[in-house]
Amino acid sequence: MYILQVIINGILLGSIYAMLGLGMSLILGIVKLTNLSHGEFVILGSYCSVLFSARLGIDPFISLLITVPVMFVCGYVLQRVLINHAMSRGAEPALLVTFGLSIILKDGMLLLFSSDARHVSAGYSNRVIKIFGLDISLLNILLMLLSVLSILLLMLFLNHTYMGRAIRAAADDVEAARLSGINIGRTFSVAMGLSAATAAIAGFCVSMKWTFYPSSGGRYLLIAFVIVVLGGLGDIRGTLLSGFFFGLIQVIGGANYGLLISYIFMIIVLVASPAHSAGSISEK
Amino acid sequence: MNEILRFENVASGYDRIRILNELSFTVTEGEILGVIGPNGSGKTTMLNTLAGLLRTASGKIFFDGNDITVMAAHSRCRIGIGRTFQIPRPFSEMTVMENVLVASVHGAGLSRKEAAGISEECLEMVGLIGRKNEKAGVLTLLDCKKLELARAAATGAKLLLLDEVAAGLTEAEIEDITGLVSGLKEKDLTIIWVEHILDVMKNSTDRLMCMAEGRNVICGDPKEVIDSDIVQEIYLGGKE
Repeated sequence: MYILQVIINGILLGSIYAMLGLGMSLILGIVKLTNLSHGEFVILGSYCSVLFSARLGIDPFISLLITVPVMFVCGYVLQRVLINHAMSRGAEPALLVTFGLSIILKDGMLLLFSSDARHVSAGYSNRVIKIFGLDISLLNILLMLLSVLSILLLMLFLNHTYMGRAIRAAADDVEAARLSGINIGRTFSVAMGLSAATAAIAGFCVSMKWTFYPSSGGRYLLIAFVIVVLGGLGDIRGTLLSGFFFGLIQVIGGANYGLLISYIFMIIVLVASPAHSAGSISEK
Repeated sequence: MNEILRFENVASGYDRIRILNELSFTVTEGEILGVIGPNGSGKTTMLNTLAGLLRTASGKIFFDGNDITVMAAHSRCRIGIGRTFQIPRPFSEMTVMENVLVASVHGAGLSRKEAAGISEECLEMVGLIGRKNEKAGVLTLLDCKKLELARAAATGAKLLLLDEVAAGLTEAEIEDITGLVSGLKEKDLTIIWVEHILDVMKNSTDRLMCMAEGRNVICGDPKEVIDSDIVQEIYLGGKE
């Protein structure tokens, strides 16, 4: 019974981790860019949740209806006016720009929100429900449903819309996509918008589960990176699976060993299978 | 016949390496212009410069009377310049149909319904309609080349750029592809066709240009061009 409890908690937690890795994986797979400000995107999403749910007095989940579109626009605009230009000068300038962006966002949040620890809670945050004799946190179930729903919506978008096809085409071969009439600048901007939107959802999960500070981004960037490496770049289903795997390790390893074990796994994967890092966005 | 394309003293290349030097030529609407030249003479660079994948360093390019020298690649595609690659580059994770759909929606700017119709037409034309739901990654070389043709045609191209579509194919397959290209010409497309195989160029083009060191060395009737002393010398290593 105890083992079952651990597995279920791990999987529930894992969906949050999958959400964390998803946005980073998208950008690596489509734009071929390591977004070093992904962690700050996540924390920005957390602050948006605090801001909109506390100030407007609405349920945190409802506040997502504002947070997600706002973050989509932020991602879109950043890519359009900043990162696309940096990318036209090469991969390294773009990487440095995302690093600079992470510092600006971090200090900006420090200025706006102070360095106090924040947390979002709702009346049902600590409710536990019994299913088949197992104690399961209601919040964890809700967050899992949210994550799975978001991932499904994203896959539907990529596989069945014309913009989604353009994104997959650009991920596969930028030049050929250009010659098929696809506006790469706009396609990349939509991809970054989607990445920021998924980061916002991950940030929301973070704000409901744990406390966070303006400087928490680095920690989540690292976690997202581990998940992306384990799951294969740009592979949505791989990201989902590696999120679950990561969640299980956290529950089994506990606060002391969870992260350590995951990093060891990441190094093993990187050493054992360099080809793993070559991937494109999966459509299956 | 109207002139559809004009290169005026175009220079371009990669970083500091100049590949095209003062290249000038024109293409007439509805013709097939063949382009030959030794390796490194700038044939593919010319196509890339024309498609907008490479920046023009100096000189001007006119398409349909408009100056397109600084236009972005996707915009050139939308005004009717379609390019295929020497080594086919299908979007391998997408189905054959999706490959063509992407081109017709984004390249030709068609509505969803129109796009589906045109895409099926293009696949029908190249004979891939039966395989439209298969992944493009599993196609053979010949089928990939056909898909490239269908994709370029689906962008609503007026001017089609073919980069060695016959290279690497068997005799029978070459006939197959050549037939498709003449079919495209009958649909009022203008074609620039880069190819190494002289027999194909001799028989299937209206005019032939030979390039060397990034310049237009000679241009005119295919047979006369191939038999000319200058082509015999620079392309075939001199007359025996």
